[in-house]
Amino acid sequence: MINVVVNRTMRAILHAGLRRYRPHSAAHTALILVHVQPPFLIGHGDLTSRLGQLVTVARDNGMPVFRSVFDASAPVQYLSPALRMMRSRVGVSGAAELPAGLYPTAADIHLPATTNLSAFHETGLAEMLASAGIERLVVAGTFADIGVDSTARDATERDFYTTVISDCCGAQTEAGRDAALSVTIPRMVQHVTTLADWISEVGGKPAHPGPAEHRPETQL
Amino acid sequence: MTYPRARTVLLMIDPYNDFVSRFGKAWPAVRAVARRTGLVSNLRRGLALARSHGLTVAYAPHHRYRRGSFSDRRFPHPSQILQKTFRSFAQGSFGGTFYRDLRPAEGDIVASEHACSSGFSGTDLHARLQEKGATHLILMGLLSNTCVESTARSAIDLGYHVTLVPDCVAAWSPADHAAAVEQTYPLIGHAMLTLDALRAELEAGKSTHD
Repeated sequence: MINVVVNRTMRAILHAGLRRYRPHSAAHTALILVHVQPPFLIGHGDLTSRLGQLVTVARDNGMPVFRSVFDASAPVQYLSPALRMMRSRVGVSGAAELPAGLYPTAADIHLPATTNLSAFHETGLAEMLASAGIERLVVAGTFADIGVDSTARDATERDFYTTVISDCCGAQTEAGRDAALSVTIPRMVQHVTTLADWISEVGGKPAHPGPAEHRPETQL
Repeated sequence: MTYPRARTVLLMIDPYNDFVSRFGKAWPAVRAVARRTGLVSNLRRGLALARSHGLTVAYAPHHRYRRGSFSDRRFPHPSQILQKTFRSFAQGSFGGTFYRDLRPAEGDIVASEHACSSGFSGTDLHARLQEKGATHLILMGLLSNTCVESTARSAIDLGYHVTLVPDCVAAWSPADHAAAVEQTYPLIGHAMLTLDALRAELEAGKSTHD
């Protein structure tokens, strides 16, 4: 009982403490796409569609798009279940092209492919963001509990105001997705929200009419 | 699983009085999970186990709150808002002191303080571990899905073999603890062992002298 009261109190303190930083425009903001790669999107049309909408709205609002990709062929000394799963997905699918809504443009920034969980580790991302005057990041990707979580944690550590778009994140299991997006990531970043709410917060317009409200199908 | 004795390090994360002592400021929030996992007793046993096997012990301590803390931040980390509100782990206070049974001993590594969550971020922890030739880390401490998990995630990206011990961690709530030990640890960690299983691994001779 005491634990519940204390946790509610902490949530209220965080809500009040973070409210003043809530973004009201897309200025000085970049989108980071984590592990948005063909093998991880196959069979997940809803997630692909929402990611495409996110990218379009980001571009329409002048936000640069950074892409972090997983390198399935690089040697890794100690393989975790997450890395094994991602390697096998890349190996089995053999898919080569991103769906049309997620095609990169010439303006997109492609980070060096790595086997790391975080898009910040050994990619030069922090330096690129600093030189571009970026202060706020929007993070989304195929595995909420793997690359999105690590990248979002590193972003907040590095003093970026970090927003995770919950319905633009998938996961291998629904339980893993819920644990990441409903429990842990809200402890680690300033803002977790849905695509529709984020679009209205930054004053952007939806790229195209979204699907009817329903629980997203994001289990990968 | 083999743990090379000379290259395996027990990494204790934030074992401060504010978290672990029943007089600590954060104890009311963590005690539900801590009592369920037997946290305090298990951390004592875990530390003793590491020392008895000759493993290096390292500490990754959280920032101790002091006047002006975080004033250089553009956007405070959620944990920093809570720390500033409650003056947690205050410099020179009881709460910011290592719990009596979990204090560093001579020869242990005590890294510089981490300001947010990962024991590696902005600290000398990686350099100190590299000086010791560390390749394998066993993580214990607080909190399950925040500092412990962040430190694990950084360690994995830095190339360490990471072992997580679910009964040697605790969190703000049972849901937070479950998110870590039931979902994330089995996914991102290289090994997840209870303290008894870790003891069995080490005592079965599965630590080597190389």
